[in-house]
Amino acid sequence: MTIADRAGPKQIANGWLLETKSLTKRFGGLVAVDDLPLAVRPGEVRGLIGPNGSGKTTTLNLLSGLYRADAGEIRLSGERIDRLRPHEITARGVARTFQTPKLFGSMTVLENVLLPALTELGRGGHRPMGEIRDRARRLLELVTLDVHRHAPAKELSGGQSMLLQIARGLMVHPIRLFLMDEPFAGVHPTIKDTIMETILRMNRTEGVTFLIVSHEMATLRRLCRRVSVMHEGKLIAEGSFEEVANHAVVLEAYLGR
Amino acid sequence: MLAYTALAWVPWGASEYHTHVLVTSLYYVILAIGWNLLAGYTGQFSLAHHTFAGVGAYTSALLVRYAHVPILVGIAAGAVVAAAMGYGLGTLCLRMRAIYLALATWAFAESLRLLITVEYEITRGDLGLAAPFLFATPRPTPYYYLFLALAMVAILVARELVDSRIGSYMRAIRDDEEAASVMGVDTFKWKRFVFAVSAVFAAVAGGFQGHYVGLLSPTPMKFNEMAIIVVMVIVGGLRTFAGPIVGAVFIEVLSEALRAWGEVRMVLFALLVIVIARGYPNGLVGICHAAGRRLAARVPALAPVLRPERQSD
Repeated sequence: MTIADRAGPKQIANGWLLETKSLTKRFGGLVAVDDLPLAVRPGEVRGLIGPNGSGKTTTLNLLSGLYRADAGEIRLSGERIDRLRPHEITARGVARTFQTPKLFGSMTVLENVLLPALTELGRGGHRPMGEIRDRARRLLELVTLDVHRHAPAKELSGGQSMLLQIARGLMVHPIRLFLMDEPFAGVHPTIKDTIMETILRMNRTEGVTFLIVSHEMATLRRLCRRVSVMHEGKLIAEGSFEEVANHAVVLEAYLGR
Repeated sequence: MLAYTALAWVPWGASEYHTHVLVTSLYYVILAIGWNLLAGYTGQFSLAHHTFAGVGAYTSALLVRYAHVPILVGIAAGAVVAAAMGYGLGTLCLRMRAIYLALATWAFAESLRLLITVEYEITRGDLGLAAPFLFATPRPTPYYYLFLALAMVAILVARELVDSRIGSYMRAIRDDEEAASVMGVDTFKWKRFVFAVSAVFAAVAGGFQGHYVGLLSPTPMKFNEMAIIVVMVIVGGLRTFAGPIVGAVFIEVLSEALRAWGEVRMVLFALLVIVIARGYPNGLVGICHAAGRRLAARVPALAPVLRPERQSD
């Protein structure tokens, strides 16, 4: 099952929702992200793969503003966002999850998903609270956490925490780009199914664009039409699974051949 | 409210000494509430909170002494100066976590104390700086009402803040700063804001306290004072709304009752903190809630009366 790439609500001049040019991040002598050109179309579900330490998570940290790029630029619908702080990038419709779930442990599940909406109202958003609560409940139902909505977030299991991160991210409004870091790592198969269903549903119904870092090839194959492959901070291949799988550099990077 | 009406009658029944102890308790209530906003709710374990009480007191006393401004103007100026310094300290600590923040704020506190000690030509250092009495008397009764009102305002302002959107940002920052920032919270802005607000709490309390005690010295800017505030909040219940209130009164009264023990009291408080931190992380407030729940389970008729108040985190 793959889904057709579809154009999102906003069409921009060159057609990219997310575009990086010569994106570079160094840690001391290590070049974690090296001259990276990444381009994602609106409505796409893009996989980002590569061996451990290839710079995938660093890329997400750059895109979400947690790290500042040493060189290069990041554009969202043509607008430079590489000098913005994380909350400013979120305000432009970018959400993310972390590989190790980062929740607001002392708050309830419902309070966790409501937080992005609070910041939206703080920025002068005008969505009525009723509509916000409605969406929160619907998203919690979608990720099967509605029954736990009054439980403290710290009591959730690892898989449930991942689900909550996803629901919370989807509360960013209007959500345009969702960055996910290893959403399937170490979660129960049922939860994996729920996550996949959520991604597909939000992509189809709301045109949300996803960039998913994952090692789970089989799962990515069902979600994405295109994948980008990183190795030692560089983009070494991009295309359909078949194209990428036959790529000499990928084989070498992944299989040592 | 009911409790406050009862508290208003206290000076009639109590000796001046007891009233004085209560004034000091209320002073610490304000300090503890302010520090709980910063450390308990926002997770910024600052060790410079007592310093801002000194900033408030010295700013006001110096302005009154040299510029001859009215006392209330001096206290307001102290609050403004503390807000600015709190904002500055918050800015300095923006990228610091946990122990580094504690160390940096501690260094800031010590520097300021030494500065006041050394600049004795202006501040009179350890000789002590006279601060005129606000009510032209050292008797505690009028100050008791003043601090009762101030503590009330502090409680209401803190309650309002904690229940607001900003209160949610504060908890989000404490629980996970990175997650808060990628969910849209301007973490820099709100951390600085809480630093400034808590500094104002301390400065106002310190300012009025200075004009009650009548003599300022750098001694209360020593780390002991900070330790007492930490003890109060932890014993009362860190992260609970009522914790600092209960803890401040409890520790101050206990401290007076055990005055004959001298510095050994600090050992007792240290043990108390260890026991509470180990067994009852929500402090006295947590213990009361647990006892209330147990009693309600035994005597169902009491349940509505004992209904635990809003858990603040």
